[in-house]
Amino acid sequence: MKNKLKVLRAMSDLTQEELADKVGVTRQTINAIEQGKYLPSLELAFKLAKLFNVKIEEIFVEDEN
Amino acid sequence: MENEKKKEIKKAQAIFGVVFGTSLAVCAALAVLGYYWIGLAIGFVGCLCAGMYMKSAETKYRLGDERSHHIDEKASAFTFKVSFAALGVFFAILGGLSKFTVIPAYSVIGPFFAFMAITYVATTRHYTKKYS
Repeated sequence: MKNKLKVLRAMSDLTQEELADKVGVTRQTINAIEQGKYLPSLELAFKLAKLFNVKIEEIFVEDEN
Repeated sequence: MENEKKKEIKKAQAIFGVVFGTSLAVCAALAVLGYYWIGLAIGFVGCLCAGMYMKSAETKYRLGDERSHHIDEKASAFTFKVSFAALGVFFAILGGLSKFTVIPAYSVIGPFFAFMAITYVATTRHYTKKYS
């Protein structure tokens, strides 16, 4: 699963710490998601989508491989 | 600000460690002296208080979130599976040996709990690296 979280975060001019605070997780979790090492829960995915005002599938994209 | 938060977290962890360790030490000391039930009660209450304190600290300083819970779940499940299998084999061997010799319960349960704790810590470290 790929994601565009880092791009969306940069576009919103937010640091990992600030984004983490807004969605109620730790900075390490945001970092792990951005690196594709951790898949967030549906609840967190919805929070992120709502925060960036996009659909979930615009953040998380299925990896064809 | 960040350093202050880290200091607060370390303070909370230290308090947890002291309360938890002291409870176990008092529990063990009283058990050795023969006051098993008092020791167990003090140990239980102490560990429970330490756990509750750490839980509130986790919420306050946001030490835990869904990723850390996920890691904890995976590590706990792995520890349970490994310990369950190991205990089965271990008891089968002890069952065979018990025909020839007397084996004290402490010498079986003590190392087993230590094995569980070590497995949990090692697995937690493994999954933390995997999901970081």
